[in-house]
Amino acid sequence: MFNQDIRMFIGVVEAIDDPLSSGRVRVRCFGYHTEDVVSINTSDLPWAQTALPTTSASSGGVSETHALEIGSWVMGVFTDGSDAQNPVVMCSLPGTTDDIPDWSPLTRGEDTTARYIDDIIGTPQSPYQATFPYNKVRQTTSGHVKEYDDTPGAERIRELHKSGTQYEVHPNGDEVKFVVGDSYRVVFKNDSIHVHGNVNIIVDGDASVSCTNLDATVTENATAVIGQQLNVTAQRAILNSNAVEINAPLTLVNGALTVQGPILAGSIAAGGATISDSGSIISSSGVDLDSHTHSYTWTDSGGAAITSPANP
Amino acid sequence: MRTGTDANNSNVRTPHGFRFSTIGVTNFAGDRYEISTMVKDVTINESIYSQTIVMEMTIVDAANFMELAKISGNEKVDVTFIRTIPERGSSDTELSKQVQEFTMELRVADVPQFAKPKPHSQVYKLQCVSEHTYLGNGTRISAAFSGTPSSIINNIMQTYMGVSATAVDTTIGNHKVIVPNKLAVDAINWIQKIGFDSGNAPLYIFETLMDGLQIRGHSQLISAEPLPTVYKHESFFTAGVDTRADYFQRQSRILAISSSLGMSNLSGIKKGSYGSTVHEVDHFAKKSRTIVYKDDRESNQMIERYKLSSPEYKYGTKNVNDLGVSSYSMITYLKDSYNGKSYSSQKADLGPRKKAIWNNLGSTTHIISLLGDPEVRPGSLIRIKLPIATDPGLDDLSLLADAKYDQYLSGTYMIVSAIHRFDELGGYYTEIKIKRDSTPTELVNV
Repeated sequence: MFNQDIRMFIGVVEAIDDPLSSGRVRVRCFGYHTEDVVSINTSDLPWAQTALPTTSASSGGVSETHALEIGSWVMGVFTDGSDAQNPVVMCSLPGTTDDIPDWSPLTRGEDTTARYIDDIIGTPQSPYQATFPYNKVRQTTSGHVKEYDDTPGAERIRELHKSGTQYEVHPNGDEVKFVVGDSYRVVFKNDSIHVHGNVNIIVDGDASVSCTNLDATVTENATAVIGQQLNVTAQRAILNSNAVEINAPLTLVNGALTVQGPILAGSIAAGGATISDSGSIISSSGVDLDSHTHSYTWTDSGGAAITSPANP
Repeated sequence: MRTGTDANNSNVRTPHGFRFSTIGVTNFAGDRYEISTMVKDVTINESIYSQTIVMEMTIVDAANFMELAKISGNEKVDVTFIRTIPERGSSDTELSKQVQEFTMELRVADVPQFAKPKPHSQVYKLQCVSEHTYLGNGTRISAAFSGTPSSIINNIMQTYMGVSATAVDTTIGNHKVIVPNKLAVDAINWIQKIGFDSGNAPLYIFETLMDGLQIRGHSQLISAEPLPTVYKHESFFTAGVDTRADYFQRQSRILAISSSLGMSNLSGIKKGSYGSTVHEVDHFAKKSRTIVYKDDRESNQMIERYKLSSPEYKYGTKNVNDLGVSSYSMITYLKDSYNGKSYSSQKADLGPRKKAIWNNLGSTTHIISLLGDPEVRPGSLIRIKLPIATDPGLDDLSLLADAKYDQYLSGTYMIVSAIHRFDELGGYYTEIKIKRDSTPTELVNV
């Protein structure tokens, strides 16, 4: 391909702070570069290009990034053969460091990452039972983790931020999510949620819903338990129901009350007057309007005095 | 009986007179043995392609010297040659004016031949190289360097081989490289690949008897003054025996010549002498370019005036410059990988040119035998005159001097190698290989 011999190398990454921000690393290659840092200082080492898999376009800003760190062992080729000036890193080499495997402990069943349980809603225990080599883990320096765990019977997907915020998909398809900080979710268009079962939302603080229109369809009953006061503010409140029952020792209407149908009540009190359940209406001064009479006199057109309303 | 020198004071009678003054062998214990009486002959090779002179001496050993001195192959050998030669330009006939002496200190590198022709005698050769060659072959370099190629090479010589170049020509390009764990001698050859002098011509790194180790550019060498003597291939000596005139006539005489003219364009085309193509690929910057090199020797410096390839020759519709090939088709490099000029980019830019210059240098090659002269050294330009190929008996001997010589093959050449042969009787001959890239005669007029 190159019309020259391609030389492979194994080396150790000594610098990753590529001044061109292009993912290059400085590698000290065994057999080519002495370990004597006086003869070859880290800053003398060439910037090696890092190859990425074909799943990365590596073009025009469309690319993955490598995850090499200082100290990573890598293997690559010198594309200029024995001249050995043009190193390209092809892969990293996990092994052991001080006899400890370089692969994440999560791959071999050692989970020291943040885990949470919420007793109030009863979040299930993590089903983590990873056994080597089924758990495919990507773990970063600060502690971010991504797991694709194929351990038979304990298949999981988990993504963990170093703060502890995480989600985990359990073998049965359950998803458990913990956000250790605030949570924000913005949907620029519509959002739909279909919950086939029940929804249980517990808000320890206040809750606020703001929308243009609110349609709530409850096929059976709706129950709201309000510790203190229910405030409903509306231009016009319409309650459509076969029957409305208000169980309160006192119902106060601060305004006109228009009832277009009959009012069935034991008694109605208004401005000191009372309509009794016998049908009598007693004014605030105690006058029974059913039996109360007044005497009166006037003269008719002929000048005769009238005291009886026979022909008023 | 000695050949060509006075037995007492080394005064030369003929130019090939030279004698070993001393030859010492110092072994591991520090014991020095004077062996000049045991040495049958000495051959010294020097070449513009070699970082060391190589000396071989044949020893006829009837004193059990090898066992006595415990020769094991790394001994220090010191050799001094001496002669007294006539003073150039003097009008007197006294042949004892100028002492010419040179001393070498070498190391035994090999015992390539050994024989016991009879029970109490043994014959063997000791092959010796310069001490810096030992260091250069015994030291690996993995280190970063920066500077011009010639300064890097000189730095390597001084730091790792304990020797400094006696002449260093300026080279172009300021590089940062890491020598990738190469032997010092190989590291020098490796840097040499990207070394180009101010005329964009390649470098030679070589050692000669008289001048030591040198870093010289092709342009500088071919533009230097040629050796003062013009060497001629003639039949007769005309000066009186043992006179100055006779001495210098013999000194300038070509004793024998064999040639490999190599004029065929075919081999040159195959090697990219006239044109070549390199694909340069920067796989970091994602850029590539095709560098097409057309040998433009009209504007390039040549030893003589006219190039040997004629554009008048057509192969189909193409001339030689259109038939470009290259031994490598792609050179890769990483942009700014060293934050300096890349080794590979220099190679891509000027590599084809170097190939062309070197290949064209072999357009005409002669091997010439002369009476011994250490001044005839690689890297020098030499002028020769070869007779025309007609029967002199048919020509008027009163022809103008130059008319007797072949104008096409005579002229200036570069000495690329020299073999100096000394024998025990004081005989000294020099065989040189000379090359050139051009001709003093315009090809179209031939």
